[in-house]
Order: sequence, then C-alpha cells, then structure tokens
Amino acid sequence: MPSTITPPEIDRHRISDGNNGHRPPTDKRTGGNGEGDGDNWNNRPRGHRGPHERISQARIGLFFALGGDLMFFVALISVFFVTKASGHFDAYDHFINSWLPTAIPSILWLNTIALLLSSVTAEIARRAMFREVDAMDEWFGLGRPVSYRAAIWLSATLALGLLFLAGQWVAWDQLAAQHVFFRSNPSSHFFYLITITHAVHLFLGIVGLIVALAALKFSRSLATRQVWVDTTVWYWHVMGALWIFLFLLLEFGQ
Amino acid sequence: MTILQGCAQCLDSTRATPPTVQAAYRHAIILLASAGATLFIAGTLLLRRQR
Repeated sequence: MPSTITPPEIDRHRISDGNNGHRPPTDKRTGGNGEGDGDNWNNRPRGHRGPHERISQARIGLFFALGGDLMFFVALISVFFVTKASGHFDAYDHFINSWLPTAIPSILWLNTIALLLSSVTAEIARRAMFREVDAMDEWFGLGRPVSYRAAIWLSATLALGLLFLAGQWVAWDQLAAQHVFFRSNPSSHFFYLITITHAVHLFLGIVGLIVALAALKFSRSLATRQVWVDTTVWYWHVMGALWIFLFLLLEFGQ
Repeated sequence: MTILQGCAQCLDSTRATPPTVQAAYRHAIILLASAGATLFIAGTLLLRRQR
C-alpha cells in the first residue's frame, strides 16, 4: 500500500491568479502566515495590532487635536473680519471706522519661503521613514539607514523652522521701530495676535521635531520612531498650510 | 428667559449696526459653521474608514 501524505491545509487552498502559475500560499495580512498561534496581529485585541494600528491611532489623535486648533483660528479670523467692518457713531452721527491697515514687513515673504522649504524637507524625512527596503533592514537590526537619513532632513526642517521664527521676530521688531504696537490700532492688534499665536504653534512643532530627533537617536523601536516622525511632520504641514492662509489674509485681506 | 433677553439684546445691537457690519457678522457665521461642519464630516469619514 503506497503511503500517502495529506497535503497541508494551506497548500490545498492555493489560489490561481489566472496568469502564470499560482500565488505563493502566504497570508498577506499584517503579521504573516500564522493562524491560531497569536502570530496574526489582526486577531489580537485592539491596541495590540502592531505598528500600522499605532500610526493610525496617532494620526486620528492628531486630526482631532488640530481640529480644535483649526476652530480656534477660524474664530480668530471671523473676529478679524467683524472688527474690520465695525466702528462707532460720533456726536454728529457719523460712522467712524478706526481700522487702519498695517503695512506688512516684506521679510514675511522670505519667512514664508523658508516655511515652505521646511515642509519639503519634513516630507522627505517622513517618506524616508517608510522606505520599505531600508525599513526592513532597520527592523531586522541591520544598521539604522532610515533613522540616519530622516534625522538629516528633520534637522534641516528644524533649522528652517528656527529661521522662520527668527524672521518673525525681525518683522515684529521692524513694526515696533515704526511705532506700530499691539494696541496701536485694531489692524496691528490682529497682526500681532495672529502672527504670535501662529509662532507659538510653530514653536510647539519645533519641540515636536526635537523630540522626534531624540526618538530617532535613542528609541529602540522602529515603530515608535515612525510614529514620532509621521505625526510631527503632519503637524508641521498643517502649520505651514495655516501660515499660507494667514499670511494671505494679512497681506491682501486688510 | 435670560437666554431670550440675551438673544433680543444681541439682535437689537446687531440691527443698530451699519449694513457692512451685519454682512461681516453673516460671513463670520458662515465661516464658523462651515469649518465646524467640515471637521464633523471629515472626522466621521475618518472614523468610519478606520473601523
């Protein structure tokens, strides 16, 4: 009696791809080929399903945090428009509008270019973190090519961000030299309010960049490094886009 | 009652302003409402995609 070997379950369910032969009998879901031994991360409880889940959760958290921020800036812009149109009636029943447009320092154009460039370098760093070949090397512990490359581009982002903040400082200094202060006029009030509020947010982004650089240097987990770089860069992009809008508002909306 | 008084006061003070200010208020309301609605819709879509 010839001996027969029952083929394993996975071999009996090979799927034809209708082209040249068969697909390899591998489970394409996260976690590889395992079933029932806890190897498939999709079967694990929520919060323990691996790097993809971690990065999704971090992005959702960032989305809602930035949603609150966006509403704050929209409220600020709404008050800007209402204040610009508002005024008071004098003793002769004339409507007096005290809004005098503030001349925007031209250095803001250079600052805007620096911030745009910083978004480009940040995006290069973010993409470097997910470059598959290098990420696999790093995952297996074969050096740190991903972190090394990302750290260079994040450092460039940090330098450009600091340049932007220094440029904003120069702009406030130039206005102060022209005796345009926070309380000089409703228009100057909004100029300072908007630029300072944005600068505070960008400073938080710089703190995030420093933490991401520290994570690239000291964190042993690739997933942790990816989460830090990804969320920080998305935050940076949103602040950059927000600045473009605010800058156009200040330059042309007065 | 307090809320109604608040509404009436707000309405009276807005009616006493020139048309340009009233238009600015209208724009501000549209801006705030559309930003809130956009966030709500984007958040709902994002969470549905995650499930």
